[in-house]
Parts: sequence; C-alpha cells; structure tokens
Amino acid sequence: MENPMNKTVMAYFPGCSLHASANDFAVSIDALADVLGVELREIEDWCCCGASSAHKVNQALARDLVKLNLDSCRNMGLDTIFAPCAACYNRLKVVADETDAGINVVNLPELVASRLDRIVAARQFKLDMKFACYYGCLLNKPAAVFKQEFENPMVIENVLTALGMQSIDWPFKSECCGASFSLVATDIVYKLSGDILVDAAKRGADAVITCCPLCHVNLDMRQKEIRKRNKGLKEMPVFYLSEIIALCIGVPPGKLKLGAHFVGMPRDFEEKLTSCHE
Amino acid sequence: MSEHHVVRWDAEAIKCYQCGKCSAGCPVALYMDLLPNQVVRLVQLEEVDRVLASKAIWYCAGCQTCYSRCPQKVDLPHLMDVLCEKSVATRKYHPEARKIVAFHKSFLHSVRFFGRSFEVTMIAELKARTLNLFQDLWMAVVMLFKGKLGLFPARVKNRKRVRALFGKAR
Repeated sequence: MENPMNKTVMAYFPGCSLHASANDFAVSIDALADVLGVELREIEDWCCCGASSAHKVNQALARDLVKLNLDSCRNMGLDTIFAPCAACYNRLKVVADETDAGINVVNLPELVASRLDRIVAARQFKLDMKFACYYGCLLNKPAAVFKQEFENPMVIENVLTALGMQSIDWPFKSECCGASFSLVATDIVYKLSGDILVDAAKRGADAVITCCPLCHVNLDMRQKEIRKRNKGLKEMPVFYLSEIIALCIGVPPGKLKLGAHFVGMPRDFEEKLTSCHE
Repeated sequence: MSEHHVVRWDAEAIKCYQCGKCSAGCPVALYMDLLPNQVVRLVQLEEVDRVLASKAIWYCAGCQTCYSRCPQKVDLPHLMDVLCEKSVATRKYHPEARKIVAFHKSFLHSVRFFGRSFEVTMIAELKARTLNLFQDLWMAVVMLFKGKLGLFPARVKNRKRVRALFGKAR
C-alpha cells in the first residue's frame, strides 16, 4: 500500500524495548523513515509479543499475544509489519507462518537491503571503522520458517560495502549472546557475550553492529564486567545498524542517542566520520 | 496444555535418530545436566519425569541453532518449551531453575497488568522472588541517568483484551 506521497505504508511494531531501555534504537529508526521512503504506522494499541518468556511457560498465551497484534495489523488494512526488535520479529514471523496469517513480517536488515539504492543516493559520510556485523540468533533462525542463510548471513556486510565501509569476516556472527539469561544466569551471558567480543577484537573489529535490543544489553551494558573477565579486551562500542546508517546519511550524532550506550564512542569518533564525496 | 501439543512433541521426538548435531552446536550445553540429544532420547523412551526435573530444559536459550541444523528437522527448542511448561504445571522443576521460572513469571505478570512489559515492576518482583536485592543496582542507576529506564509504564488502552488471553490460557 502507498500513501498519497508515494511512500510505502507499513505497520510498525516497536515492541516494549524500543519504548523503554532501547529508546536509542527507536530514535535511530525514526531518523531513517524518510530516506527509506516508508511511512511507519504504529499498530494500534499493540501489546507485548510475549518475547522469550511466554513461549517458555505458556504456549497458548505466546501464540494468542502475537495473534492479537496480527489481527490489529489486519484491521488497519495493512499486510506488512516492520519489527526492528529481533525477538519481536522472530515471534511475529513464526506465529504468522504457523497460522497462515497472510502477513509479511520484515526486520531491519531486510528493510534496509530492499531500499539500499535510496540510502546510497542519500549518503554523505562514511565511518572509517572496521565493523563486526553481529546478527545473533533470531533474525535468521529457525531455518525451517525463515528459509534463508543462517550460518553465514551477509545482508549487513553487503549494506556496509555498498556504503563504502569495511566489515570483518568472523565465525561468531550468529552465535548466541546469552539472551534473557542476562538477569537470572548472568554468568552465561559473561561467557557467551565475552567469546563474541573477544573474537571480534581479535579479528580487528573497532565496533560491533547489532539489530537486537537484548543483544545490545548483553554486549554493551554488560561489557564492563566482561572486560574484567577478559583481560586485554579493549572497549568495543556497540551500534545499532540504524544508527550507522543514520550517521551515513548525515543525521548529526547529537540527534541520535549515542550517549545512552554504556560503552562510549571512541575519542576520535568525529574524525572517523568522513565525507564520502571526495 | 492442549491436546495439540501432546501430539506434536511426541511427533517431534520420534523423528530423531541421535546423530548428536544439536548437542555439538549448542551454546549452552556446558550448563546442562542432560545434553539436548539425551533430552530427546528420554522423551522417546517415555522417561519424561526425568526430563521434567532436569536443568537442561531451562538452560535452553531458544537460539534455534539445533532446529536449523537438524537433518530430521526436530523442533527441539519447541520441545524444550513444552517440557518447561509441563514442568511448571506439575511443579517438578529443578531447584536451580527457580530463578529462571521467577523471571518468566515476573515478566508475564507485568504484561498481564499493563499489556506491555514494564522493567521497573518486573525487576522489583524478580528481586522479591529471588531475594537478590543488590544485583545490577548500579546498572539501574546508570540507565536512569542515560534516560533508558522509563519510570512510568506504557499501558495498553484495551487491557481487558490482553488479560482475557491470560485467563483463557490458564
């Protein structure tokens, strides 16, 4: 569906995180809507998708919470949902598939990749850093439902290449960060997220890119403890993909909530942001 | 638990021929008392009680790696979920899983009450349930200063609609 200004209209499911601890992610998504040429209409009165808790202790509830949101989307006359949070995306997509809902669910890398020509046309800057593109578990798995490359996805790397930026080749891009064990079995997170950050650093990455609020919590907020347990690991900034793209198209860093990250930007960050039209 | 699931988890387990690929690639296998392939084997042998009382089902992170790689397409994460649900319903869960169960309950209580999850009440309830009052306190303070911690819940307008789902599911 298109609106009168020729923008594609999509239902938008921000999820609980983007309204709370991942509000930095939400700010960067808003900053991208124009250049992507989409109008994001928040699903009316959306409710929590149940995330990783509902399907662990109550299968029926997990399905019903998602179905409520799929129904609301349908009532708005829309057939595509954009869900930036990887966990919400996974739940919505899996249940939409199970119930033959006829609703297409898209994640951030997919949306960006499908509109890459617009971003390339609008780009002004590039970041002179080497990125480790971290997909985590839920953007590409389970393979039976998503039917796409899950061992070595390259969607984000290809976006960076098109924008003149560098990424590393590494084996941890779809390893688990420890997910919701963050609060109740934190040692698991220290181990799994620690392995991810150590490998990224070893292969020469200056920063990590993610699309999942929970991965961001584990890799960014928990990083101080992780560094204590991995001597020699330097501070590794963790960006959302949308923040990197927003910087490329000229959104001033001050307009993004980069200061809300626990790991600060490198000191020479502003110098690394160079014009790509030289 | 509905009939649908009972049928489905048996059907899932029976497909397995014990190649062990799930356990080889499981990121949390080292925290489990049974390996993922052993969980499936015990279900095949109808020794479900042993599985319900295991740590393994609770330490599954739901990363979907085993399911994606399985040559027989056994939906092992779903099987783990169904076993967890049954283990709570029959109160058979492993003592070490108590904190994990408390987390899921606290999370869902906030969803039941507000229609969306709300970190403040969820974490308060979790701390009360696990008597772990001081963990991550510094983090909450930093989050507050960085504007990452909402002090007021984002409520759904039609909360009855959401609450009805909780009633139905019980």
